Amino acid sequence: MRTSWTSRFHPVARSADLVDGHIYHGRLLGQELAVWRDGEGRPNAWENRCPHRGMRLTVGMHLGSGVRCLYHGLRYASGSGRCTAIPSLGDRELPRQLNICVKTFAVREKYGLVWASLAESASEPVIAALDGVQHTTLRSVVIGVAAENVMDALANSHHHGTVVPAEAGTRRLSFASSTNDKTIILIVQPADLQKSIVHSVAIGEFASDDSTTRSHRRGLVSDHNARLCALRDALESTSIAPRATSSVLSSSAQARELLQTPT
Amino acid sequence: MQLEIDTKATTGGQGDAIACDPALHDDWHVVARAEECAQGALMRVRLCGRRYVIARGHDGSLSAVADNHEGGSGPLPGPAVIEAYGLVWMCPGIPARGVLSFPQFTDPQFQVVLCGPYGIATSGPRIIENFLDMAHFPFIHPGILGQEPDTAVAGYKVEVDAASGDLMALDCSFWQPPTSVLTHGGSVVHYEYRVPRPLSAILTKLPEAPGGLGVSILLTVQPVEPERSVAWILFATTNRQKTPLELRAHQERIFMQDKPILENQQPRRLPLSPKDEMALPCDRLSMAYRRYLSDSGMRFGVIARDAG
Repeated sequence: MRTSWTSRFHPVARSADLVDGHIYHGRLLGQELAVWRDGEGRPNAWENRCPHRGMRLTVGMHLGSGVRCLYHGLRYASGSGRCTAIPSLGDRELPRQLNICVKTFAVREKYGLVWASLAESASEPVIAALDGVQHTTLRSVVIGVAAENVMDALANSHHHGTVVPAEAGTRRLSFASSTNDKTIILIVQPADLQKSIVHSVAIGEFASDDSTTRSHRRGLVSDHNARLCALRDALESTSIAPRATSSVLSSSAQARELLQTPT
Repeated sequence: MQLEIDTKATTGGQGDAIACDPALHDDWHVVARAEECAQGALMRVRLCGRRYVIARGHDGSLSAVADNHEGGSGPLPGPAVIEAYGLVWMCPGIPARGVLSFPQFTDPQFQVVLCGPYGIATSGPRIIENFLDMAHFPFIHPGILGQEPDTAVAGYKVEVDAASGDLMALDCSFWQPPTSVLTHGGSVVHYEYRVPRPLSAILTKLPEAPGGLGVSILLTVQPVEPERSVAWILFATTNRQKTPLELRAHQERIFMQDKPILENQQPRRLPLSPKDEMALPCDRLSMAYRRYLSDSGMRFGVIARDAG
């Protein structure tokens, strides 16, 4: 029986996606997320919804220490998600019984990725192969099928190397390249019922900047990317068209429920 | 006039909501501009997940039939269709009352321009609720309907008009910067809101002094699907110095500022339970509107209170 997908950290963005002043629109298990880094570098993963009138916070304003909702100017603080300003009140005090807070999710930043968990307690994201070694985050690929299907396909695929299970929710791809052995860790983000994002983190001396390494890296990256895209095309051509989701509330609950079902 | 009806299509789930929606089924909804319906021509329209065909006979009268997907046998009951305020209104059931009242349309003091139709990818109630909201003026319509830092919403009265049953907000006021349509310096503008039907609302800007400029705006929403709507606006003003084109451009500019807001509210259906979204003191009209929809049994485009 598979462990539940909800009580785990999953990648929801690449670290590089959280550029200064930007609020990134992410998705995990059907839950829409506003993922952003505050002025001090701390990541936040919030429900992408102002608790006042449901406005997406990804289209709000990044204030450094918080986010301002575009619709009515309500402000929410980094970290706690607590509402700190309500412009429609003017000089009046916020009524004490009003405790407005964005729904926040546990968030970590590790291995060049930003991770979030929908459950309050989840074991820390650990990929032993990436600890203490140099690594590089490659391009992520969106595949329009369930994460389970992607994991199975990776296990059975004749990729350009050996794919073995690594930590939960990940696959370890090892292969020999022309110059030396390479390892890429593949981590599958269950974005929605029928949408997965495959993140790739390569182990190795990618930071080295001599021209041989650079051209070798380009070849490796484009080769890996082409193979992931081929996998995507194969998976999507055999899957039925994803059904339209009705509402965020029901679809995220449904997605979580289905993903928890052991197969 | 003989209408061709497609009865081959399979029975779909579409349209089930309207049949059991007491708030919409026996009421009138705008489906077209009157001048769009040419004599002897057919026009396809959509309302509450169903398709209809409207025809204008050679005597100028309008008639409608379901562009039927249920494929039933026997004569189809034609939905009621009439013309009012330059618009075509349709009632899918048995009309419980007349088309809502907008007396400014025939008042010689007012010039009236039709704005729209504007397709909006959200539910009708979200569109109406946004129209009833003053607190967003400085943020979404800066320099037109409001301006930071004047963001405070003063208290106002909410009541149900005993005679009509309309939901009303009285003594509303908001600081508004100088605009070209209401020629005044920045000042406090007084408003009244009236909600005569679940998907229609009228905003009236009261003149600053007797004989001053007045504005009345009717917004009515054609519910196409639970999360897809078409907005129609009748903009009536006593300002006769502006051309219809200028007035329409002004109203369109404002509405196009609202559109991206409306299409980014989640969920798209309006939650009617007070627990689902946090209400602020300025949201008394919004909360009353949600109660009003709940009381009227509205289901199309809302998340009902009893839905958990």
